[in-house]
Amino acid sequence: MSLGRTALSGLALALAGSLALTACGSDGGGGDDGGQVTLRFTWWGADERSQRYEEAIALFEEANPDIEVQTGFAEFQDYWTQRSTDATSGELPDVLQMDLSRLLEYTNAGLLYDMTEFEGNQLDTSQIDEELLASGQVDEQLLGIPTGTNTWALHYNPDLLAELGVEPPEWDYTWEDYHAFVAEVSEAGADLDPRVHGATDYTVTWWVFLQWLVQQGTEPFAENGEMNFTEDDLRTFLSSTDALRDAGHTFPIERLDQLTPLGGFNSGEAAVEFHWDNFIHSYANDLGNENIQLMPMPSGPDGEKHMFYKPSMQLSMGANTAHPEEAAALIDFLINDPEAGQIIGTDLGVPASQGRLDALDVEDGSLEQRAIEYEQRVADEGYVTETVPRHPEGFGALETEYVEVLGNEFSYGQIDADDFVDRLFTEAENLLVTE
Amino acid sequence: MKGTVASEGLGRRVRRRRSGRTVLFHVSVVALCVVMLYPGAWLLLSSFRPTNQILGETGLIPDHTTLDNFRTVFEGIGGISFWTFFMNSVYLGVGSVIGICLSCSVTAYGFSRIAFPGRQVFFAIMIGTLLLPFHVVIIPQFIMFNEMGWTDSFVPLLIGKFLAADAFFVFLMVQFMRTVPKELDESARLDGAGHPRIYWSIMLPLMRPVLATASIFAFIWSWNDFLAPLIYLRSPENYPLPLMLRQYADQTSTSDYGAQMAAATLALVPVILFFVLFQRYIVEGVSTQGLRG
Repeated sequence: MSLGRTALSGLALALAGSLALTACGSDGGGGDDGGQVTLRFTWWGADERSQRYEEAIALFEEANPDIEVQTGFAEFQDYWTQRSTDATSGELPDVLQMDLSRLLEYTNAGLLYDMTEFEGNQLDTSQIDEELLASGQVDEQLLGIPTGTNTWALHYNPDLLAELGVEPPEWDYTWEDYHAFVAEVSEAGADLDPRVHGATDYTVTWWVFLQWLVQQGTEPFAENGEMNFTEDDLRTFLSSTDALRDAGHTFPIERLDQLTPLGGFNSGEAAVEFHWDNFIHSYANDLGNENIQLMPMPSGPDGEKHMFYKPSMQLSMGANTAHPEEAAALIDFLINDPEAGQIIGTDLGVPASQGRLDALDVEDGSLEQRAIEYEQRVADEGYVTETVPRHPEGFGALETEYVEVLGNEFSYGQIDADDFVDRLFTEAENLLVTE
Repeated sequence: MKGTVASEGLGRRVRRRRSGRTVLFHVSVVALCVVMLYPGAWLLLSSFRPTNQILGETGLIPDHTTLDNFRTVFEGIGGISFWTFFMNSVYLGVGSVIGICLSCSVTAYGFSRIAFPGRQVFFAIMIGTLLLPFHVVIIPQFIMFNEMGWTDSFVPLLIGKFLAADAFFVFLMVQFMRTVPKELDESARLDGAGHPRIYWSIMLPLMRPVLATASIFAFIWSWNDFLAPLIYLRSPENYPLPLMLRQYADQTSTSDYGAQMAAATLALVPVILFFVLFQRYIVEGVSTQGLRG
């Protein structure tokens, strides 16, 4: 008798367990009861961004008591894995943080909602620069609203430079001036322990290549997704730092591998670094020193900078959204509302909305203020004259190939410039989606 | 007399040679152990370092110690407490252990003790699923679970465990049962026991070592699983620890490596505890178990 009972109770336990689990799962599906609308909103980023967003969303929910926002976040790579699974099941979030490098891929798959119909109604885009807004438009559809802007900058460490007795370059410096500066720093830092170098070799940075191309008057990608630059362009660019590399003035890759995930600059072993200006926050955090300054890119052959603003992030709507109007209202709130702006600060880039930027109250001498002032000054000086290079489908994959694979092998001296060029052009045929 | 002295001398020499070898053995084992444990010790001690002194530092002893990293971790992420993530991992880990111990042992019993038609074929199919990489089934599985409305819950992560879908554990248990003498079931059958009774009262108690092994593996695999939770869970409230750990080092914004080290240290504690508690069951021999039973 007891044998049956024990076996049965075991089975019952297993059943009860799985039932309980099913019960756990069935809530959170998110439906509307009694006029209540539930929106799903996802972003990538670390803890700080999540806190800012959550705080802003609490305000939004307060102002719109009939809308509930379910939030989700993950680290950048994980975020895109999750979004692809969402796309597979036709359940993209109502509002999602979007990156320019993925915009076309998602658009071409028909996954994003065209927000044109809300412009001027729920969604106020009048405060956003037209060129910038255009980066979220594909075939006259509005698919991504920029949250803020980034532009390229030379980050430099004034304390380290003072220690070495080297002056930072002037703002109107050229690439030759920059090379001389890097060599000077590396020579001055040769006796320090750990050894200090000028900078990492910029030729293995994809975006510096694009900036350089733009300065040569070449728009990197054509509208049909093909590359406009030639093998010779890339070869010239790669060999532009030959002298620095040969003299050992660029940051050694072996040391870089030891420092990963840090780089030379944010471990205090290199004096300068090209990167997007918003990286000033993580650089300061990694260095434990807020004294990092920004200056523009070197000038091109015509003496101009030809810099561009890139939307730091965009907000898009999943095409499958059941509540497009409410979703548009949420985007509008996140982009334009001054109170939300005060909470978000420059975490999503220097605010794209002019009204919000003007209203933003930043602390004197803070990193936020430095980034904002930098972007304003490069605009005022007339350095920002170009639009951000096109991002054809496959752009991100090509960038990864350039930086992670070829850039790495090139830095280790396993391949020379010719191999680099050959392989990039071969890979591009597979990676880029052209029409 | 002489002979005794000589043999004593020989004995001492042998002993000395043997002790020399023992010392050498132990020194090299300890050296290996240090090498193996170094990353763990580094992780543990780094969690007490200020964030900007972690990376690029290969030494063990911190110059400054701080508890800030742990404080940050306990504050949670995006308004969600550390304990939420922790308990999610515990639910998944304990759920997998229960599921696998129950379902795989029943299945294994069936394969090793019941001669049903097609047993060989089904066994071969089951083994065949071992050869199937997880990544092959990931998309169809996702679509299936999604159709059932189970995404963003623990069901897709656990249901396979309750349905003996882990061929590895079934196989492990079948192999174990083959070593249990058939005479034991036969005598039980003579006493009037049927299959449920033999399974429950004879087999399960005898299987303690293999259940312990399976539990350890099931728990550790579930605890460290990253991809499946990433795919099936959408709400951060449902994330287990591996997903939470990644949040501290987002490459596109500011990274807090100190908090990541602290969270990783905390995440390791239960796995180590679980191993320490269960490992003695593995060591216990099969034959003694059989006799005692």
